[in-house]
Amino acid sequence: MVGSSSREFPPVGSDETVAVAELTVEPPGGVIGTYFLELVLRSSADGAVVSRNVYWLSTKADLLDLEHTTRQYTPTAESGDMRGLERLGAPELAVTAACTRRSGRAHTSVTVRNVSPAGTPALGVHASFAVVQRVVRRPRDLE
Amino acid sequence: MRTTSLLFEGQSAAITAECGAALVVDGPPRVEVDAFNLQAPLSVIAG
Repeated sequence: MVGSSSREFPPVGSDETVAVAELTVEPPGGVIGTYFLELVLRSSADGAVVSRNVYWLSTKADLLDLEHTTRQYTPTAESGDMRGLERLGAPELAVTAACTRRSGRAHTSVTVRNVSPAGTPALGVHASFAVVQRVVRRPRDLE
Repeated sequence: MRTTSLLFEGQSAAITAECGAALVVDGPPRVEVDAFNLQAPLSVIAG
């Protein structure tokens, strides 16, 4: 993490939508090319995370070719520099999984933690059942 | 199951899934975890 900051906003009622801020985020100092921006919204009551969004951005902005725009499409004259994503190393992940069965249904919980000593981010973590080992037909399916 | 967003060092994500009654799994399910910048997926047995 290169830098972080926090701000406190006024209370928002239940089922209420309030525009609380317009954020202008400058690229972190000393970074050229690709960088990450993590926005975390926490409850001031207990610090619980209400919302978290992560963006990958570039210090070089996309340049739109507005002269050649059409009703459906605006071409990009120059693209941002996202090559840093290709140079990311492999993260170290710690994975635990537990399965419980209740009333004929199986609930599987998977916890993935990034334990990279080098601080490497893990992009697009995905968990899936590798193999359903056997499908057992219920007796009425065989009639 | 689902794809999470990006995980930084020390961060974790909890993912849950439910199997319907039509599929009866013979033994604990095997779970694969992958990421765009992992060289190979990780495989664990859900105990």
